Amino acid sequence: MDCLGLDLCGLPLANPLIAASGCFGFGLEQAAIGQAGGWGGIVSKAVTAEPRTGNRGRRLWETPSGLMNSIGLENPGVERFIAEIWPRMRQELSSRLIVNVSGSGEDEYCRVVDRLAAVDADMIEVNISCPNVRAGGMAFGLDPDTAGGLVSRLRGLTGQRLMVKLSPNAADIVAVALACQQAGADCLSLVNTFQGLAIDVASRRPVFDNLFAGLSGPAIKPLALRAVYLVSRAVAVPVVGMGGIQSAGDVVEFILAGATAVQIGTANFYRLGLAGQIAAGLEAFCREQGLGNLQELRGGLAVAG
Amino acid sequence: MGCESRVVEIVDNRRWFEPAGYRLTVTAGRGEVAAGQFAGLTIPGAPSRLGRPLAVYEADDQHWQFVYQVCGAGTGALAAMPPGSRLECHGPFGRELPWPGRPGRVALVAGGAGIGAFLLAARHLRRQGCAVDLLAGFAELPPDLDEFVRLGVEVRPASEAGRPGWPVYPTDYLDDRTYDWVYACGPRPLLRAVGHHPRLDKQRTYLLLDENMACCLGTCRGCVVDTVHGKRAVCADGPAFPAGWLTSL
Repeated sequence: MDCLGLDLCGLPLANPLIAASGCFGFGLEQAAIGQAGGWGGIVSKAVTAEPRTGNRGRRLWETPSGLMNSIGLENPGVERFIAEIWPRMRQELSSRLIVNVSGSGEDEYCRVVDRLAAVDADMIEVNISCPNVRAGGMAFGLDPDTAGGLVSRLRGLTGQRLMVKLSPNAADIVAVALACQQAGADCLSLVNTFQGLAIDVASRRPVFDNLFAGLSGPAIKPLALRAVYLVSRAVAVPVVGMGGIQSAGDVVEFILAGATAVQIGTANFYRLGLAGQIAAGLEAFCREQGLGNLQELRGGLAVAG
Repeated sequence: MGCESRVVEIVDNRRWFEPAGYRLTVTAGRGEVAAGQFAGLTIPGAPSRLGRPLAVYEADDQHWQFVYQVCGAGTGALAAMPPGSRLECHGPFGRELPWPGRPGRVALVAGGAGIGAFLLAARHLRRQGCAVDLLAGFAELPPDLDEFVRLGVEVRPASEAGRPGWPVYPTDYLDDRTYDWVYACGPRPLLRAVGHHPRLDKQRTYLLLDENMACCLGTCRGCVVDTVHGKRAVCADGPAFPAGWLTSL
């Protein structure tokens, strides 16, 4: 019995577990050590039009049950991605492959999405929520009109499925979600990292050169669940939930809150081969609960009153 | 090469040098370990969930050993774990050290827990026919380093606390002998002193870097350093780099 399979806006996934962008690279290093299996999908690291070297200074800072990062979209650029990385991803990875796209301005997003016509990606994830670059990134995800405008332009450029990755730093994430849906997004993923501040007491300086950095990990799970609950009740397109997931139980919580699938990021750093373990946990959960398919629980949160 | 996450059991976890230096023995992780490689140790229940990246000090079929110094909440929780308790061990990660390829005189310069990278290295270098000196600096007194002596390594100790006939820093020994290759592991000031030492060839001086790490595979780009060849991940491209490569030492 296939209790974990699902359809994500027309794309069949073997299970609802998707490796989150930036936390799994391009999957090739994991494949090399036999630890890339078990995922329904894998999202690539963000790809920009030109190669980027990323941010200077400290890039990681662990907090209680959380991880702050300020990587700054280090990536080889779309041309090298297409020529050297994508063919290996298709060959060495057996999951559905989603390419994450970012940029400093609308034109850069458009250039990258346009070039990605050259690859047979299963989906494109539009990253309008990276908090760690000075231009673009999260700037597109904070305002409904800006987000809608960008997604509308990308929709006009490509027939590929578009998943838009939302920022929890928006004043009204539901408004941004509705604008993206209206502009033609096939599905939405949320949440990217929360902007935070880490301080080094000894030097009285911020830990990160960029001052603020993105917080992920179990620390943000309740905040992410709330956002997924609110957005999935407001939109008709599927929601892919993420934020601090590290166990099968966490996945079930996101499904109950309204997510169709989930992404797992930071927890990949806690354990190699995580997807297979969580999938096994979900199968056991379905058996125990007598569920034919995990999707039966989607949005099933029993709210009093 | 094998690389996985597995639950291991602590066999021994004892104070080994001052201040707050420990030597840890656990049941073996997965696969063969080469000198220079490290494992991530996740302490169950601790609020820090990332594996503490520690060089593998000694490895056989039964056990892996590590040397660490308590420097925060994660290593603090690790130091409190008694034999019989379990933790998660990820790896081994990182590249094998680059080797001289022919016999010569080699200095292994260790500061404190930096010595944890050097027992496997010393064994390999001795097998290659190199003369090996261990320049071992500690804040107080060194632990018993007889296992290096048994390999035929000359141990040259230093102590910041001062000791008759000993220098304060292990780098002081670099002036009185000519070394063909040098490997250094320890606090950043020690790496700077070795990396900028006027008597050493920067392409034959390898610095073993310690950074905050997340993925340990080179994918998250969290532990990169600037080199003459661009950004390099300490976890996957290192941990050892020629001193001449590092542009921000």
